[in-house]
Amino acid sequence: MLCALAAFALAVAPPLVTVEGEPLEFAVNRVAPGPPPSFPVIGVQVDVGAPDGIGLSLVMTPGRFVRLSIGGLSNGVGAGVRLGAMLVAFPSSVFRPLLGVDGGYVIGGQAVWLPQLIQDGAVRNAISGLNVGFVNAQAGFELGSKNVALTLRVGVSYVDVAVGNQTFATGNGSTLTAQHIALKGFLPSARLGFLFSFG
Amino acid sequence: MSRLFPLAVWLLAGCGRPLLEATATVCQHLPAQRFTLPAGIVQPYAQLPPELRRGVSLEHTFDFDVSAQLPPAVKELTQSHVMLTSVRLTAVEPGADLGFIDEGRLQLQPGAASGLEGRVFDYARVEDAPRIVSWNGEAFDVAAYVEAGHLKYTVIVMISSPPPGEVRVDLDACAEVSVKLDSL
Repeated sequence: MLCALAAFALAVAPPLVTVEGEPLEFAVNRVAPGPPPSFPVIGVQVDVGAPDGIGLSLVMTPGRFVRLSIGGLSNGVGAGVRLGAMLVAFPSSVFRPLLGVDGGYVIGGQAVWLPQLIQDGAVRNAISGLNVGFVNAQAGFELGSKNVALTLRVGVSYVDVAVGNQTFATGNGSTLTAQHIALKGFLPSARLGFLFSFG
Repeated sequence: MSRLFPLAVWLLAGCGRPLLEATATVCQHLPAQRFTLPAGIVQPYAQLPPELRRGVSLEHTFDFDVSAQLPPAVKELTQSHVMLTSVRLTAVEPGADLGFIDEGRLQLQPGAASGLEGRVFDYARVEDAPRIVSWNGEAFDVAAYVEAGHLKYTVIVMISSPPPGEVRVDLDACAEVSVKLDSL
């Protein structure tokens, strides 16, 4: 009821004016900057790759040749976040070379689905509780229009993987336990995705 | 381009750091191991002359082959280190007393064809609880022994007084294992 009254009041009210008596909507139009940017300022990217996993990111374009991204990740045994920055060459063309860095961290035990698909108990235990941190340095390209594009990137990643404790039975009640399992170093990486831009 | 990629990898790798390194603390737990007098000693321990009692050791041999699961191709590309860091005996019975153990040492037994010598090194005893005896000495890399084949290690405890009957202990041996890949 109140909402309907407010709508009616707005419909019949006189237009808002500035102190000079000029309608506000005209004043706003007059001081607005020139033409809008020729490049999309915001977008959504869906991608899959290693070591990232599956990602969904919000992509912002603060400048014609620069893109920033923030998004969520899932690698099947955990969920995490990723931040990135990228340089884009020839942003107006159909084929746009890319150069970027990004980093993220996936915490094991969150949004887990991969272990449920694996029958082998030892493998299932090994990948459960896997924490993955990474920094990617990648080059690649976008192919497509300003609003929809296929992206492919390859490069090198520094990964820091921590695995949960593993215990193996070795017979006669004996066990072999591996603790503080870590894998650190450089691995080749790749990522394939789609970018949907707006604006 | 093919020359630039290794250079880039080397720069990214931090000038000498390994390209990839996996590390873990691996502990072997052997429950309820029985220490018994060597079969060669037929005389009851208490009847041995004192000079012989001091020299008698209770021995037990355990297998420790942590790299058996590594594929041969991985072994060729990588450098492995297996730093044996600690050996600990815990009496199974809650009221048991391991105070009869005076000294302990560890003896490595490499495979017969390895050409490696069996190394004997003593462990300094840093814990003296009645139920737990632990040797934490300077870590020793047994990777060469492991890679040469089947490594066995023998825990030797020196005693000055006879144990009260059969002694059962849980044995825990731990090693810091690292596998490094320096280049492709």
